[in-house]
Amino acid sequence: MIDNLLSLEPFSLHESEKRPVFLRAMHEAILFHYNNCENYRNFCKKRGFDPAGEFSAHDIPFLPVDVFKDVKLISVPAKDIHKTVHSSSTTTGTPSSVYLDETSMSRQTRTLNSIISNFIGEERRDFIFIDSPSTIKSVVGELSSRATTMRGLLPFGRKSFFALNDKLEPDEEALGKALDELGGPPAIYGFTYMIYEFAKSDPRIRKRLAKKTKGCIVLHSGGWKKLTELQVKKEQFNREVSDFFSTSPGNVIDMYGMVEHMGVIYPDCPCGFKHVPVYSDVLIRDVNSFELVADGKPGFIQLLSPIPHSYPGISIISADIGAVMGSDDCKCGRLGKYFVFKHRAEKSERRGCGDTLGE
Amino acid sequence: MNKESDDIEEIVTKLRNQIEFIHGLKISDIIDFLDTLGRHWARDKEVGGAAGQSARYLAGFLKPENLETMLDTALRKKEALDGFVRLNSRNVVYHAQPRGLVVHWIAGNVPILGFISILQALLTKNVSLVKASSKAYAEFLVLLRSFSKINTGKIQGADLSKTIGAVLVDSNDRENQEKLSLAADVRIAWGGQAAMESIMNLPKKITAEDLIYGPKYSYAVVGKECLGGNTRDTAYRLAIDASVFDQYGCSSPHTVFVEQGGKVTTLEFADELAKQLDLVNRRLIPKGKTDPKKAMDILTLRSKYEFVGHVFSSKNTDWTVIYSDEEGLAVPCFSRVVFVRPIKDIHKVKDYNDRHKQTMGIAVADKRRYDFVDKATLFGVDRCPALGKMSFFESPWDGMFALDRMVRWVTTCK
Repeated sequence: MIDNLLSLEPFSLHESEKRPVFLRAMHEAILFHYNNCENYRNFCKKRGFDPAGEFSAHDIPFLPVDVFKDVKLISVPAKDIHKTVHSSSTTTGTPSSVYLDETSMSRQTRTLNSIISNFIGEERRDFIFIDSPSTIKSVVGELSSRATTMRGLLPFGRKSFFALNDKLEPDEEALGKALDELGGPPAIYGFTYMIYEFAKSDPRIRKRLAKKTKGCIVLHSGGWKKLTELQVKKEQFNREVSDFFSTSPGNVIDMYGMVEHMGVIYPDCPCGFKHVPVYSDVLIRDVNSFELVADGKPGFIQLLSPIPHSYPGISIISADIGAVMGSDDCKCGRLGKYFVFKHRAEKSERRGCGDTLGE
Repeated sequence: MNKESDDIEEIVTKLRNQIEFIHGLKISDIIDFLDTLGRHWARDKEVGGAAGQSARYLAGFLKPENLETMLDTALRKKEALDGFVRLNSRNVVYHAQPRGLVVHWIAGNVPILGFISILQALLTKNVSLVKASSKAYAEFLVLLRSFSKINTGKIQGADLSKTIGAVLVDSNDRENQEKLSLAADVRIAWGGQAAMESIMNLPKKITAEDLIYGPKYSYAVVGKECLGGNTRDTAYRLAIDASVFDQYGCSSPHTVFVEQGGKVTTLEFADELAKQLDLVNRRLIPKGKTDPKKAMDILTLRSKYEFVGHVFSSKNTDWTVIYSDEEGLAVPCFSRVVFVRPIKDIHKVKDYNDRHKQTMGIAVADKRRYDFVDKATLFGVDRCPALGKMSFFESPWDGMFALDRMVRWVTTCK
């Protein structure tokens, strides 16, 4: 069932057509993790969830993403783990860790290819990564989320270049070489705040880039936390970054995703929405009761996908706030559900004399 | 009462001009005024709307018998505030003079406790300047303004209110923070670690007295002899302690150690505590608003302990009981999340106590209570009230008789 699902075009089914196909795949995934991950089985039992029974997507218990920071969750023998991927841990300082086997990685490659191709076309382009070449290297099977995303994009690159040195400063020599070798408008990828910092760098770089990157596509991901702190809004970001790379703001594409929800990313369509492919589902839950909210209402974003094989991250909920905006009727033509990411739920609680020290 | 922060010197001068006025009042008249004020707060809709449950809490605090006991305990004789009194010396008489201007830095978590220090300053005939929390400033002003509605014949509230000023000063406004600090004869600060360090680093008069409240951790201990027929009552009282202030007070319990070997198992106690938290939430102290980040923290904690322990919780994020066999004090989550941990012998908690621990609520039989409390508090913990009374303000607080620290003792020969 899962293989059948992953062979579909990402935005090819109406929501009503997708639902039963997706649910069958989820059924297979849940049974697998229930039978192979004791922690997950206990979790389901304590939530009173029986994966052998009838259920809908919204009945599937969800794991908060931060659980992956504290608990090692694996559904395959340890010897089958090929890679461990860590999140960027910008909020708490502790990264999430997810453990990938061959099956998970193979599924991830298939689905990412399908989704990215849908947005930037199947024709291979030259890629400029606003990052350092050392980031992408795996250290004893460990990868950062930045490295994982870049590796996912490599198959789309005719040639790949890196614009920063190991100190994450602009590497003018490498950049010059890249510009000399570019065979057309490239695709550019970087973490959101790194792209922004790069666009704020030496104006000479902008001049050098102007002719060569004209009309390029700029993909970015990794979250808005740092830019929110700088009070930089998405419109301003798109304007400044597109200006820097001499392309249109519509070619600056924000991709939403997270390490724990491997294999699926949610790029912005030209209408500003994030589309849910057939490989996943997005539900929005009330921030206090965790009940589903109506379309258009904001709440926590729950992500479901049968792709993870080596860890039970098939239904997770994050502290990101979003809203489902509709289904099947986006002007961009993609079918299925679409949503918007609004912001991260930030701490606003009272602090004071009970603000105790950690034990 | 003023709120502009750009004329702190002017506010300080005005307040200092009120010292002789308040010094001339009799303590019995002040107590009478505060009693009337407390009764007004208990029934006034505006105060009730601003302070919620805390209005009744403050009204209880302001009862004459409570104030008189507090003053007599801290100062030996409350009349020492009015003039010279005999204490234990044959040759000397004593008088408690106000120190002058008390500057209060009030925390945003439980502004009510901060208000108590203002009332204590007033009881010791000091004038007060309050650096209020921006989050609770509106509520704070409602309480302050209500002074003007009281007239006892001996004291007009409008006059007494002139002895208290309030300002909003940003924590990063170093210049005005320094002005506040340098003006103070007593500095009282309620708050977290960062706020305390920031205030302590401000310049101050050499003669200034400091009363620092926080940051502190509190917890509870249930002896095995209390796990029998009265388990429900014990759990109910603990549920109240965890629900008042939604655990954001320094006296709120986060962990409860339950001694093994009782008629009720430690896990059964956790289950009963869950039932009582639910009851208290529905009938007595409804949970305040939970911000989304905290809701996600609670959900994450619940999920984590569903792997390694037992979780009892409301369907939403109103309350949570987490039972595990872990040792030591749990990292607090706040927002009505109580960690229940079994313990073989309650004397073990001594190892967890240091000066950062404040209140240890106890349900321990009388016959071993004093010995247990004496040994457990050698290196830390200042209060060991019965369960259900952890969040009741009492003097001393944080190990200090604040009323005594707000006066200067003057002696003369008989």
